[in-house]
Amino acid sequence: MRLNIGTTVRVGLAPAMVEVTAFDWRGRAVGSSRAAPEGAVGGWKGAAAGLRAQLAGGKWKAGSAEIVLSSHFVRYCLLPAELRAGKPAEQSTYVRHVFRAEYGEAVNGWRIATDEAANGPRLACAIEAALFEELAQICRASGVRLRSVLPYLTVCANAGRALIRAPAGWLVVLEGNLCIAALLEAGGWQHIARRRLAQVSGAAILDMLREQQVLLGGASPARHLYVSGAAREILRDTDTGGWTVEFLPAATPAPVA
Amino acid sequence: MRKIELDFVGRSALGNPLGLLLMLVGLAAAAVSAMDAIDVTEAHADLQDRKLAALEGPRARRTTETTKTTARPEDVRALREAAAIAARLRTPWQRLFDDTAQAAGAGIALTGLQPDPTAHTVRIAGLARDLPAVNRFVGHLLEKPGFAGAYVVQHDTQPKDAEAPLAFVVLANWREDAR
Repeated sequence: MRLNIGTTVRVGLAPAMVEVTAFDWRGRAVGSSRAAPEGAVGGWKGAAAGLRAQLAGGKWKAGSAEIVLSSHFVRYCLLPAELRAGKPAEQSTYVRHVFRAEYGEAVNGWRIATDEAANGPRLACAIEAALFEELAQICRASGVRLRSVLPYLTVCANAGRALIRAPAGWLVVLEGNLCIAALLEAGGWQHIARRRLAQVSGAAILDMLREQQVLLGGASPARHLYVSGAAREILRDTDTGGWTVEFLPAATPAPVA
Repeated sequence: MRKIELDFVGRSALGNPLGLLLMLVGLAAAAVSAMDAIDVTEAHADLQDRKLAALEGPRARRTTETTKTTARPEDVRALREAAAIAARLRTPWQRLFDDTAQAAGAGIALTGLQPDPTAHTVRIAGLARDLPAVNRFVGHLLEKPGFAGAYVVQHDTQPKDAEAPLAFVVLANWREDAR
């Protein structure tokens, strides 16, 4: 049995790119590779096949793997703060009900994770259960323990959380043309939107935020933007008008959409 | 902002098995250290009691003479111990130290010296680079007038100590009156 204590691979998994970085037990990067999946591009199956190819042969000699999923593979919901009571099974049923109301019956085949430590509304994320099983199987076949599967949005938020201090602000994460905008108030989640932009530009991102504020009844006083992912480069060159922009540190590995 | 703890990989109740194993090893090591600390404390307290008894020896002897018929076994044992301590206190420590230190030289670090005046022996503990260094030390020891026979009764390698990887104990016959 191979024993590689402390050696970790971090994987960024996106529809068009799979990035693998290996870290030793001191957290130092000791190697990396990026490859575009061959064949069908767009769904998770191509990306998973790319990951299988990169982990094959045990060339990374890794003990464990952390996988960061592109938002292309993840669906989001906010769970009201007041609905926390009940047994775990009841909670699970309720969370699925919330997702079903938004995404329909497809939720039956999804795996859902929630941020249980949140005080206010809780962020919940869902991925296809088949994607998770495939990732687990790839790791098993490569002799690597699957330690974490995280959505890129939460990795970005955690990487920049020391900078998120304003009473209210929007967290904006852009991957390709997919924009996630989350309204944060007092450090808690208030609203989340996921939108494919027709045109990737700073103006399109700001339009999306204005639209979301209208949908919220214009009630939010948020004028801070916390920007991560590809939006960092785009909004750096954009006149943001009345918005105060904070560029969050790069979260790695960044899935490239 | 608080850290978001959201992971599609569920956490097992026991966490990482390796972490659990390391925690158990750590707890065991802590327990052993605690037991050692208790032993040292008790030994120190015992030594203090013996010193006190030795200092009060004459008075104790007088008391024993006056109450000869009622001496209890534990009192007799305490007096014997006191006598042993007193004998040890009469040991010419300076000469013993000097002779042992001269025999040790540069390659030996002495960590313990325990004479037994009644048996005329001394138990010497120390650290050395290797076994030949210990043998040289024993040879030098036997050149001193007070020492007759000297033997390595215990040695143990300590790989973690690169400078002095060998711990040893030498038992030597020693006459304090030989000069």
